[in-house]
Amino acid sequence: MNKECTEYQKNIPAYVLQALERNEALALELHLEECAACQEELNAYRQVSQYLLLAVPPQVPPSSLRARLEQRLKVRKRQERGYGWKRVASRSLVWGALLLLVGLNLFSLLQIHALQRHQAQLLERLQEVQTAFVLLAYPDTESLPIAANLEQVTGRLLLDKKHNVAVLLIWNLPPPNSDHVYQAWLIDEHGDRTSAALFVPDPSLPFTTVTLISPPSFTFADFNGLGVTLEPEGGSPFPTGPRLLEVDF
Amino acid sequence: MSNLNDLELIKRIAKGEERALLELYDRYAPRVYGLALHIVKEPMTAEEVMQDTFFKIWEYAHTYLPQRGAVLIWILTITRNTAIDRLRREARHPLLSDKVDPESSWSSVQETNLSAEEEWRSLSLIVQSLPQKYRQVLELAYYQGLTQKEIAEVLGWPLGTVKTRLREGMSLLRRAWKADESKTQSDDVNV
Repeated sequence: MNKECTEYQKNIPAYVLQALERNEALALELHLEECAACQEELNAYRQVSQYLLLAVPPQVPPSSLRARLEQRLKVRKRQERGYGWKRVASRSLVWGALLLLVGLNLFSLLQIHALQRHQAQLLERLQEVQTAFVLLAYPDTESLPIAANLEQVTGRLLLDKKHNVAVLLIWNLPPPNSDHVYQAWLIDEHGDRTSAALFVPDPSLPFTTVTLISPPSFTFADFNGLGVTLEPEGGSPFPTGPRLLEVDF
Repeated sequence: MSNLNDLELIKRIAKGEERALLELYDRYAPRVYGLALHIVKEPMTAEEVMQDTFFKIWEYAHTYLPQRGAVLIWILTITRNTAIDRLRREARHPLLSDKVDPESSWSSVQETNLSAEEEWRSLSLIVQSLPQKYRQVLELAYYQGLTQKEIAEVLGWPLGTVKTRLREGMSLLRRAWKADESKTQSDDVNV
């Protein structure tokens, strides 16, 4: 123990009684961190302060105090349970709101996709109608009647063999079942069929326009006629259903 | 539950067992009330301090560390801090003209049927045997929460005198209790 310790140890009794000024207490605490002798002295005086707690004569409290404590405990526990439920409720509310937001976002995305699909279909149809109008203006365009095996269905095939362009214009063609599509076939001189288009009428319109595509390295001039059948969704490699429409080139 | 030791009761309180807290109350209420009354002097305030103390035990039981002292010491430390906080909140600084008479405070020991009575009686006798000039500063420091500077102001003594008396008083207590412990151990051996 050095001279410095002697000075610090003078303050230890007051320190354990919490009677030192704040700055004195802080200085002593810093010294205690690195001085084992002073820590030992501190522990001895801590024991004295504990004895001071134990030395006070006990006093019997009023008997009503226990009942009051019990009552306050019950109230406190009820409050704690209440806070618990409130916590659960508020968390559920937050999660619910988050799920609702995610749901709304998903719904918006689906709506946007549906609108984009619809827009693409409208654009496609517009292009087909424009092609049909352009074809009508060509001097070499042939307008061939469609023979239909369906009631009230009429139409024409606009065919320009020189520019290798053909558009079907069909009125009153009923929409097929959801698992079927109409398929157009080009028929050559041997009676072989080549797929030229898959289409489904728009139920909101009374007419259907279909742009036909000739197979690679062939032109419409290589074919003698056209047939339309009802085929399973996605189309078939060759006709499987009865011919519903036909055009003789 | 009455056969559970203090530590087991604290563990149960930490788990939210009301009965454990009431058991601890039955065990130590006179100690807590006695200390609270000794500090705040008024029975009504002492009752409030006592209720607050047991609520703190209820809330902080999970923080109790056995290696830092016995359960009773922990409880009485909470009681002392709660009572002194109450005095500070009410800005009640004891004056010599006040009813704070250390002599009467320490001599108000009543006969009770409390357990461990011998223990506190022995400790209490040692405090009572201190000359009043020491007991007065110890009383104001430890049981009224005043710093040495505040004690000097209250008593009108030079600060140096307060420091010396407080240090000497604590030193006397330390020696007396040490001698008391040795005597008890010696008695135990003779038995």
